[in-house]
Amino acid sequence: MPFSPPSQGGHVAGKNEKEAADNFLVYLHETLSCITAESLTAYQQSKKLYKVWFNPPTELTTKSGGRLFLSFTQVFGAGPDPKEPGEFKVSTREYSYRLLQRSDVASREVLAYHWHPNDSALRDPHLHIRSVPRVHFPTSRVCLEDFVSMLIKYYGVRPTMKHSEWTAILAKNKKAFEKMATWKIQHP
Amino acid sequence: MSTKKAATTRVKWISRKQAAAIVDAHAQRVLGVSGQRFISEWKAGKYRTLDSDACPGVIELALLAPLPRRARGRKK
Repeated sequence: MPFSPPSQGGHVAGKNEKEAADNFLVYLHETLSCITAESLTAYQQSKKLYKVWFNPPTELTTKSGGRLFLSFTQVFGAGPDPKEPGEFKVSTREYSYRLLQRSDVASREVLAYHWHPNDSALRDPHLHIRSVPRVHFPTSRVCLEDFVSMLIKYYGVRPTMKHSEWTAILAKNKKAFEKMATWKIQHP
Repeated sequence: MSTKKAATTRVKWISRKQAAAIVDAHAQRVLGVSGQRFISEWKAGKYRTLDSDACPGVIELALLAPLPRRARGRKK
């Protein structure tokens, strides 16, 4: 199956698990390339389970000349697409999007969006805010495009490209995400 | 962004051994234990109540470590 990036209207399916995973990584990288040129690290734990993250957290430059760091970690599975016989798709299993002031993974985050239903008693997506410790603010599923957009708009992260380019990428990739998501973003 | 740039995949695939080394380093930094010890103690239920506020970085560690997982986290 020829692959075209989401920004060209392509989809992220594949003819087998690995191809679907590879195509999904193109999509993730394209979204993250709006704010960083760093490479992602990926690991295939099994035929159907993949992990992708920044190792170490990637540095982000702010418009005021400051620095922030992004710790992005996502676990996803790949398997047959029940709606498209012969095609394979990916499904996000867990994620962590953390905004840090230091590159140290053990540093306390400015904020963090988490969904880790396998790793603690708290199974629903939630938000941590450093200034309000110990509170798990409930959220909908948060897509990476919304998180990247928030970093640019509200945390002053400097985009790596023109406004028209990053907005177009985030809009198209969010649309692709909403189309393929097994459980959806809750719109107000 | 040009479409040529968008089509470039910048992903470094790593081996099982490299992944284990990253988990080990992460566990040492976050909890002061080895990756293997973290996995053993996680399976024993020691970290079930830990979260980002109490131990920053522990959630990423749990995501990266080869821990038992349900077939699907959640379906809606």
